[in-house]
Amino acid sequence: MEKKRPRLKTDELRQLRWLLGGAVALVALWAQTFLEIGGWWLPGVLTMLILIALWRPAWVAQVPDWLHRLAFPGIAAAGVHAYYLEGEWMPAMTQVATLLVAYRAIHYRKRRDELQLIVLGLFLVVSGGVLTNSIGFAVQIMMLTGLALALLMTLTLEGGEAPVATKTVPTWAERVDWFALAARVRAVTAWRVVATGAVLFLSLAVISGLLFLAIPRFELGQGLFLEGLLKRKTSSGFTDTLRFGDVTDILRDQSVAMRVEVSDRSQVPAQVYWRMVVLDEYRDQAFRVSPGLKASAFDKPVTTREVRGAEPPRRGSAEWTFYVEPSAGRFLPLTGGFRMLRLTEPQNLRSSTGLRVIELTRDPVSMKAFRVYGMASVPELRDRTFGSWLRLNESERRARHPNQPTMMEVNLSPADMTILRRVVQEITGGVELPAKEFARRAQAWMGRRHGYSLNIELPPGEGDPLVRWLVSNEPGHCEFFAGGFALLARVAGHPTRVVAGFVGGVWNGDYVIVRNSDAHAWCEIFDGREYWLRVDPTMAATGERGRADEQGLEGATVREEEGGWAAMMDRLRLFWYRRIVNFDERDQRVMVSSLKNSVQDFGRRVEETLKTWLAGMREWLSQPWRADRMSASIGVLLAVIALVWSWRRWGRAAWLRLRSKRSSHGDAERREAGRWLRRLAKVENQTAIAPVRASLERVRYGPRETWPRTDALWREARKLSRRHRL
Amino acid sequence: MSESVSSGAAGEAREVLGRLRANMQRTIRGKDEVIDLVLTCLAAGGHVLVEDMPGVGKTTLAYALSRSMDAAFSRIQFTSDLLPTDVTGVSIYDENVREFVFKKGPVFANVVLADEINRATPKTQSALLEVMDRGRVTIDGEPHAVGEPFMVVATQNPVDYEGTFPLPESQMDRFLMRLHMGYPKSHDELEILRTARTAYDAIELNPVATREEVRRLQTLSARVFVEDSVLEFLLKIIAATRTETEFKTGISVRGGLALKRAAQARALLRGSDYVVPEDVSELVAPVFAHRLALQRPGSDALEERRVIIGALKRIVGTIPPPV
Repeated sequence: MEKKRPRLKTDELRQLRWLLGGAVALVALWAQTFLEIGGWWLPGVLTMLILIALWRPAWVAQVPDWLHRLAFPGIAAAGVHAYYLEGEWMPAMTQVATLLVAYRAIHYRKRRDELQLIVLGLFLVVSGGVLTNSIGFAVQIMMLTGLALALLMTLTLEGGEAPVATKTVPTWAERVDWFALAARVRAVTAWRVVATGAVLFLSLAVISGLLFLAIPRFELGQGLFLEGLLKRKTSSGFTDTLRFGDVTDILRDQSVAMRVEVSDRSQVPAQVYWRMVVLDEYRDQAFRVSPGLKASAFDKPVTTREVRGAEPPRRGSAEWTFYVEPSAGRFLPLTGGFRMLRLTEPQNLRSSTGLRVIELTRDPVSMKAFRVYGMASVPELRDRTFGSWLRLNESERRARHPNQPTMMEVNLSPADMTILRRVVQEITGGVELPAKEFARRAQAWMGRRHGYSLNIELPPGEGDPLVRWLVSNEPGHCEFFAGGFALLARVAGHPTRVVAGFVGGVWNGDYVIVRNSDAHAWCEIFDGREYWLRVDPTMAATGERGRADEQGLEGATVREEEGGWAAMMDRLRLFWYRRIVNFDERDQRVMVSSLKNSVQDFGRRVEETLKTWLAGMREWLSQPWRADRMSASIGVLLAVIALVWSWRRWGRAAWLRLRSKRSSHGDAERREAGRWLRRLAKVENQTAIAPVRASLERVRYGPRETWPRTDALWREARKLSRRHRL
Repeated sequence: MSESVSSGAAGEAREVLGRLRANMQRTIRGKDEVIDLVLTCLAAGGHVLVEDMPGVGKTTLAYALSRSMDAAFSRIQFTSDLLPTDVTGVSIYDENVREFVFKKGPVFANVVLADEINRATPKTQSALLEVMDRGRVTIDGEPHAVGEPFMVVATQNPVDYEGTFPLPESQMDRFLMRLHMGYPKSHDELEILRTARTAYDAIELNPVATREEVRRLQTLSARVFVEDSVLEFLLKIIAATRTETEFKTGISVRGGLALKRAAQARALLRGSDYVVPEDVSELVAPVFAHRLALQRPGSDALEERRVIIGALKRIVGTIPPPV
């Protein structure tokens, strides 16, 4: 048979409980010294008292009864006094908690007292830690948690509760030998269990600490420290070069690229284009951001949390909150111009007001969140600078702007250029068309020749593959449509650029999910004056809703997502993002400050009301006593007496009856009977009070239907109590 | 659920029990507490195990009880060669009627004194099991009801263990209480010496209660009201026995029910229609002590008994009664 492990006796458990409770109180007092409220002497004296009580628990019974009676009024008075001295609630509350903790530590505790001790200790430690930001807080909270857990375990092991009297030394306190107890604890402890528990506890503490550090919080300063620790790089997403096949690769990825919350859903347009990168130069069979565009359109890299845009403030404009997964790349998605963009933490970035593009200088490795205020979602982007540049002749352009974007250049072989010119001739009929009209006709021309497919087979031959595709009848996808259109428009003399990003998305509750499969490329053509017009040759050529039957592209409309587990899990994920993301600590500060102000205002109002009332009372008392005042005073006094008398005679009994009726056992009245029984137990001549005692006993323990009238019984009990001066 | 007992009915019960007590006191001197416990056991419909030295009045107690209520009394002297059929009875073939006829054993009475029960073999002891639990004997598949009311008063000697078979735990659990007579006080003993009798059956007692009255007592006892906080108090005591390190095992659910039943009967003895916490706490030792075993059993049964009772008293002392 397995050998049974020895266990601590009840008295030993109680001794252990006393020790642990004292330790909890000492840690709490230690935390209080960090606050430096009321100087060092109070925690010092209290610590001494607690140590004495720990050393000799039996001495606690020597504390005179009147001191116990005065304890709570005294503690309350000390709190009020501290409030008047400091004029603030916090020191007063701390004072009260400190005294209560000390009092609990130096008198024999019931189970609920132990719990109170833990809660008060926690309050002192947490308030000390939060207010002082002391590093000792971590140690204190760890110690307190460990001690509290041990104390709760001891309470659980102990099971039943012994009656606690302040004047009687309990059996466990009669002979205390802490060394013997330590030996016993050592003998009964299962060290393997303790070690496992300690490891688990420490692991939890370490993980909590790491999470605490990792989660973005107020003023963490340079938010890039996490990136510094992580070596992972994103393998997908948009870059400043768009090779054929790049978007297609992204399109095949069904994972979420970003989530967007919009404060006013009605401001989300029917068709949404999330612009990320603008590409101007076509070279080596790829569109890219030319060095000229980089130099002229982008500001220098800065580390900032806020980016100001060129959009004027508009009343009622929505706030767009983006949660962008690292897979989306280093460009931030935007629907157009904006008034201001705010990130959760400072980032090193370059922005272009003219292009409405923001690029982070490093690939993100974690979710990036930002909020955009006053964002425009229109298909035309105003660009006066480009318009004025366009109106200059070639030499003036080169003289004034040596690094110019190449939104008009087509770096192709003469053979390819001939082909393109022929196509443009076919589209325009040799007439110089406005940009809008050209776009319409070119899209129609492309629609007639090409269908949509993600699987492209380019016709064999010489020359640029994009030109070869353009003049073939092969189907293509957005990169071909956008690239082909850009080349045709440029040959026709219209400055055109390719834009890559996402299109459309699905609503999931109150936010939009955009997946990598929503990746898209489209064009912006300049109208010759001051606007870049959005042209989506893929959409125009293949229909409003795109290719529902094809892979990937489903159109620019934000659709309603069906429910289900995936949608619910995604909502949970966003809930977590909302929890950890904090755009503006000023909002929180304002909220905390307003809460503090309203509490203080309320306190002041109460104080003023009391003062006014007291002043009025003093003035009233100082007036000469005339007959009318005398009679009024007596009247009020009599009314108060009558009120008290009525309450005691009928009110309390009725109240107890009412409460008892609510519970089938009549608990309130049973408790009241118990209270009177305890009181009358002190009467020496029990025979004299036997009938009342029997009735009380019946109400306390007997069936409800046999009870006597309780209001009369309370009266009888009160009479007896008064007669025997209880 | 049956209705609670009215205070009038409780008063009547008290009066019946009072008569029984007074009658028994005429024979059993200075043992009021034991008489009260036996009457509690009777009212609760339980059986009692009296454990003490020979010659302290165990048999007299059982006999006085049966005489006081005009009940059939039988005595079985348990010995090692006693057979189960010697207790329950046996079916024998009757030539006249040419069939087996059941001849009732001594267990067919209202008060059965099982003297020195631990001297019989476990097989014979267990013959008492069914009858103590169900109030009937099954012979050849046929049940035979014993007397009603039915109470077994078993005795055993806690000191002389030579050639005995300690009662199995299952059988100990069938006894509602275990009592100790103890030696009488000197003035009571003087009175006993003065009124010397030769044998217990020479006791002259008139019945003061009918069997019907006793049956009614037992019915009433089960309906005495127990308030929730008192039940919780009882439960705390049971739970404490299960965590007490000195005990090998705690009190079973049956043990808890036994204490509740005994407390209800004790309330009736007081003439009350409800149980108070003292009814519970006073009966913890007699009802629980024989159901518990020590983690480290001692060689001396009396000492073991003292330790168990001491631990139970400590447990009761640590649990505040609900007031």
